[in-house]
Amino acid sequence: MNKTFDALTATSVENQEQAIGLIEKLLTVAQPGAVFSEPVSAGGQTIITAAEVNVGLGVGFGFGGGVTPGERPMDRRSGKERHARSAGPQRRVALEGEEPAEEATEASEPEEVGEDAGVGGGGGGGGGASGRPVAVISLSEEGVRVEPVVDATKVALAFFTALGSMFFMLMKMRNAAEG
Amino acid sequence: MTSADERFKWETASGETVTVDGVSVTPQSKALTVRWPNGGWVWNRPVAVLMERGEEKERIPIVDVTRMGQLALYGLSLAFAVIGLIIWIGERRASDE
Repeated sequence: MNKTFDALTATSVENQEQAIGLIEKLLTVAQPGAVFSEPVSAGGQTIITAAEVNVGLGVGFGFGGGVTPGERPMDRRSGKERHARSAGPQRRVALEGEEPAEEATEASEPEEVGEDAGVGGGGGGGGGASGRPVAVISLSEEGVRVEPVVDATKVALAFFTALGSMFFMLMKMRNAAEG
Repeated sequence: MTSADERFKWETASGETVTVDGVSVTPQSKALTVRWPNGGWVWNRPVAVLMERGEEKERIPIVDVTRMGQLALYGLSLAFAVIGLIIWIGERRASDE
């Protein structure tokens, strides 16, 4: 089991390092190079495009392992006692002012390990990115011009949403006034 | 453990200067970076271009017309809703009295 656990740990560490590397790469998006394009020259003009960039990502990992508690072949203890024994280390410690029970002495014996043992792990991640052109910077002999790029679809969607909410509000007000 | 400054960053950065026919242009962008232990989010947008021609220096802002239009329309509908609500409450109080 130890080999499996070590292999799982090694794989997990490797994956986590890769994920951290990916998150570090995210910071390159915060540089101006991600927003402004390389200059392109044509027809006596040099053009640089400017865009808004939005990137987000997250990852998560987890792994663990366990064994089934073993049972001695000639275990004469009752089921209740066996349950109390497998309850964990808190049963092995006597409370303050309490005499250490016989159970506590018994509990200090090494537990036998059952044959069923296993390890498992998993991870996942998600992310998203979006970009939208904002303006075009034009350099020529005449000077520098910044021409905005208008996304008519987005503006139209906002217009109809606003119109719809106004209409809805107006109808509600009219109904309330009549009622 | 990352500090609050590393978790949240709101900074302006200048890109590489491009010189064409004696006109130098330096683009500027503003980025908001939010980081957490296993991820992060970056919002980067262009804000201005610094133009330099001989002695002349000028800062030309980059206006996001689409965003301005969206905000104006949403603001208008919000204002309409608030004004409508105020009028409706006023009329209801008047009819109750």
